[in-house]
Amino acid sequence: MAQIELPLVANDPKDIEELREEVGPLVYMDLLENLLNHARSRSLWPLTFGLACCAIEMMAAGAARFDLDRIGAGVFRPSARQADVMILAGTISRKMAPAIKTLWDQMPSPKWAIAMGGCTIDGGPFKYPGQYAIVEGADKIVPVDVYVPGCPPRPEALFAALFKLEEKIRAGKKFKK
Amino acid sequence: MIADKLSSLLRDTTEVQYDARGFHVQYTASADTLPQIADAFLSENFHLEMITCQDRRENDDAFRLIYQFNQYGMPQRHVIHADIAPDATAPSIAATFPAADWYEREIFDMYGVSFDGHPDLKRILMEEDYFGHPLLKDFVDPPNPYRSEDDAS
Amino acid sequence: MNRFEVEQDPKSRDTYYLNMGPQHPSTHGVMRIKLHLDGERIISAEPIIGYGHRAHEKMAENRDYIQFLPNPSRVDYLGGMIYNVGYCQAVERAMDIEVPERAEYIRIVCNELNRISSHLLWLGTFLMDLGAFTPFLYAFDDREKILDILDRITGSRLTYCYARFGGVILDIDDVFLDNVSNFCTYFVERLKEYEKLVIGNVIFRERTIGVGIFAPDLAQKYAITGPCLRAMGHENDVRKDEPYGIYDRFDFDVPTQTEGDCFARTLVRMEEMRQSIRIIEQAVSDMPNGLFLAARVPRRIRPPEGDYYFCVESPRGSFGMYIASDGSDIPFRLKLRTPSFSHISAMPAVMASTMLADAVAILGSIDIVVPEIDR
Repeated sequence: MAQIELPLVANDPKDIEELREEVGPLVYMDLLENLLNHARSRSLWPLTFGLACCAIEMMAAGAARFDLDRIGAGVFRPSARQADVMILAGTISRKMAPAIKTLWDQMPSPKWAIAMGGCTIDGGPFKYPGQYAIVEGADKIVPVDVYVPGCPPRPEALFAALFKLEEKIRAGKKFKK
Repeated sequence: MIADKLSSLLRDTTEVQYDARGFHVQYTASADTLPQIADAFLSENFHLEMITCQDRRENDDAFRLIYQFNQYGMPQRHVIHADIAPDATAPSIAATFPAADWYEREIFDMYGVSFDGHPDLKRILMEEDYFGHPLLKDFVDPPNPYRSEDDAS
Repeated sequence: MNRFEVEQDPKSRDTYYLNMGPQHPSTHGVMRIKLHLDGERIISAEPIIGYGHRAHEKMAENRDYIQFLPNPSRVDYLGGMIYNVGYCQAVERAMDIEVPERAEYIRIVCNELNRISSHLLWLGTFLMDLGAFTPFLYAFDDREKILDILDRITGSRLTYCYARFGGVILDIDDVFLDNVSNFCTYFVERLKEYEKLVIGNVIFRERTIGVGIFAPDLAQKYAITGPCLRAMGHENDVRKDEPYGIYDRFDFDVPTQTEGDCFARTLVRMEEMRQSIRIIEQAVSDMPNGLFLAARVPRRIRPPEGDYYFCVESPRGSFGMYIASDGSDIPFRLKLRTPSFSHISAMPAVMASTMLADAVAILGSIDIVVPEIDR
């Protein structure tokens, strides 16, 4: 390991340039926000918010075969104050919509939402001209970041959604080509 | 036997092919005899399987209430049709069969039929302050932002 | 029975209202229970439903019988296959459509596999409510094995549309039968592990024995059916009392217990899984060759005018479908009589004068699925 002679003070631009060349390969410099985003994306804590059939696939994604814990998202929090991401799994009925809005408001920033299943995208199999009971799409209530199609989507699809959300949080690709 | 107790209360009785229909006997009754019918079934060890309603205002100018009683062990499914006028009320049998409590609330919520003597007749499936009765044949959901067609964006 | 005396004098004690739901960690779905509490003792519990109302019955009045096929599976998604088959059988009986033998046997095997997977999920979530996390992982792992088998032939894991009027839509093959036989051999041993893990556990016994006892007259008052009824001592099962399909050809027992508490319901469901394996083994060994879908199924489904009722044994109880037909291809009225609706309406009677922690155990032990309550 080469010994680096560090001056105590570097005011001269030439000195700073020299420092940067020597020290650069050893130190990673970036915005603090990016570092925090790296950490946030790898430990997303979901809110336990299963509404209907998709909830079972969400539970299956958290269970032993498709373990969500290995990507850091296995800690389901029942309290909205402790959760990062709201996975809306299931049909949203109009009676439930105010509760969802309350829960979304209770979640502290930064927060994200995944709309899981056809019902949260635009009403899914329950959308028809005379429908009086459901909200046709979760984005009418909360700002959704990722949509997962399927009825219900497989647990692998939920994983893909979480990876996409992680890309979005870091604004970069998870797996480099 | 149940048939003797009910014969005075009912209008007509039809024996039905169980294999084709799924129940054994079908009766027609008038709505005001329902509490006595319920008492008769309770004393013969029947239980109330379900209550439902049909909107027959176009065909017969009535709501048809359908009560279904059955027995454990040896199934004997009795179905009772009771027609009531569109703005009339029906007597509640919740005092005899507590199961009727929620079924009657659902009929009130979905059809607007009120039941006299019900302990707490309020909506069960829709919100408490909802206006309208969804399962009526001429029900139209008012325009609202929850539906995609009305959402201009 | 009342475990504790609850003082009702409002002057000496403060009572308060606590809201359980509609979002709460026991994964039963969106239901709200308004509890009136005195400390930890429940004075009264009022369930408030409707948060999962999706208008199945109104949809049935706007669609014809064939278009309604995806819906029954979503009414009770844990017993999706049983509900799908039940709806097909209801319409087949009304239209007098004959189902080939092979299709009947396939339906039986898929039904019973679905029943086992529903009971496994119930076991996992019930024990998770009581605080045990390991059985949840074990149960879901076994459930994945069943879902793999069903996924291979139907294409879906949870909500099935496999049964159609006149049979099933795709045929099975020998790989399916091998998979099922292997699963049966494996699962019979696995059930013994569950019993060692769960039934003998002292904490589980303390939390469930004597808790949530259904009084004997509750059955007649609230029309309790299914495992909850069998745990009270009544030996009633729709597959034995009103046999449908070809259930009368199979040799299986109906398990009962007498106490009517949470522990009894657990024992009944464990034994039911064993009996389902018995039925599957008999069906697999007797599987005939032939058509899997009837050759001549009417193109337009128009049941003759009148009322029809058909009930099946779902993992929760007796699920019935009431169809009022006016002769056209759209039902005039289709009512779904679901067991969870009756069981939840009995909750105020059972939950009064228990402790708050017992309320969680009782709610878990009656095995409800909320979209089935709200339809």
